[in-house]
Amino acid sequence: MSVTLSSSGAEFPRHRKRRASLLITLDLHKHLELAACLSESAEIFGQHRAHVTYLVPPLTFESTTPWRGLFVMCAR
Amino acid sequence: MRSLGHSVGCHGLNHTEEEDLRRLESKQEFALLREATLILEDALGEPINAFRSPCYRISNRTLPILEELGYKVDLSVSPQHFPLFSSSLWSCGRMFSPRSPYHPSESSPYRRGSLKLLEIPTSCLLIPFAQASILSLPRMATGIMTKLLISEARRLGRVVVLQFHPESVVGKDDWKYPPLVWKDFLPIQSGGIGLRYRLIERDPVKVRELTDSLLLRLRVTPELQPLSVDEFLAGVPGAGELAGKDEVNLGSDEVSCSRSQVGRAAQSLP
Repeated sequence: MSVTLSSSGAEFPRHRKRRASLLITLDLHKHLELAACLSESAEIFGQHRAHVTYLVPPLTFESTTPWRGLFVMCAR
Repeated sequence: MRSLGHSVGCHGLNHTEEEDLRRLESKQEFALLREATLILEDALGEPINAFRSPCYRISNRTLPILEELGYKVDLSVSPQHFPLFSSSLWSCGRMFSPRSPYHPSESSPYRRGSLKLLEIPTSCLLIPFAQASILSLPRMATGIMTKLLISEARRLGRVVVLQFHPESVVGKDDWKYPPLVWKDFLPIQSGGIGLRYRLIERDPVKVRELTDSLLLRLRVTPELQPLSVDEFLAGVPGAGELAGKDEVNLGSDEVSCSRSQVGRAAQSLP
C-alpha cells in the first residue's frame, strides 16, 4: 500500500484499501478414513492459521466416529 | 474449536443420495432438517447458525424452513455455476442468482427477497471455487481464478467462499483410476458427468502441495480477512434483522455497498 509521510515523518496510508472476507468451509461426508482426513486437515489449516467452518451431516458419523470428540481432538 | 476461530454448521442429516431436498415432501424436508439441527445443537451445546445442503440441492422451501429452525446463514447457492460439471445438471436457477450475500425470497432461494436469513453464495467462475476445482485446473488457471475472485470481492463488497472436502485436502491413497470408458461422458446419479472426477488430482503428495500452495497464497494476501461463518456474523450488525433494508454491511473493514449497486454490478457480470 502506498504511504504518505507527514512532517514528523510518520507514515499514513494514502488510501485505505477494502478488505474482502474469506470464508473457508470444509464439507464433511462419509469417508472411510474420516478421522485421519479430519486430523490432517486440521493440522494443515492450523499451519496456515485458516479459520474454517466445518459443515457436518451428523448421522453420517454417528455409528462410525464420535465426531464431537474428533473435533475436540483436532482442535488440540 | 471456537477459540481457534472455527465454527460448526449443518450439512444435512446423512449426506446420502436419497437425501435430495428437492425431491422430499414439505413435511419430510422439515423433519429431516429439524432432526439434523437438534442432533448438532445437542452435541455442541449451542445454536447452529450455518447450513449447506448436500450437493447444493435445495428446494424452494428449504430456506424458509432453515429460518424457522433458527439458522442465520445458508451457503447452498453457487451462482453462475455451469451445470455440466456441477453437482446437478438440472438445477439451473443458480445460474442467475446474485453473487453478493443477500436475503433470499420466500419462494426462491435464487432471488432476493424478505427472508431474514442471509444467503452467502459460494464463489464461482463457471466452476466453483472449491479445492476439487483447483485440483483439476492448471496452476496458472487457479492463480487467475483466485485473483479475479479476490478483486471482485474487494471492488464490489462480496465475500470469497472457498469449499473443501476432506479428501481434497489430503488426497487419496487409492488414487489411480481405471482406463477411461464411454460411460465417463454420461450424466451420473451423483450429478454432473463422470469425467469430472477423473480430472481431480488425488495423489496425496501433489494434493498436499497444491493445498499448501493455495492456503499460503490466501494467507499472504493482505486484502483478505479469513473468517469462520460465526466470526463473519459477529461482524454483521444486526445479522438476521436486515431484511428489507437497502444496505448490507459485510462485516469486514469498509466493505459496505448498497443493494442497488451490487445488483447493477451483478448484472454486468457474464
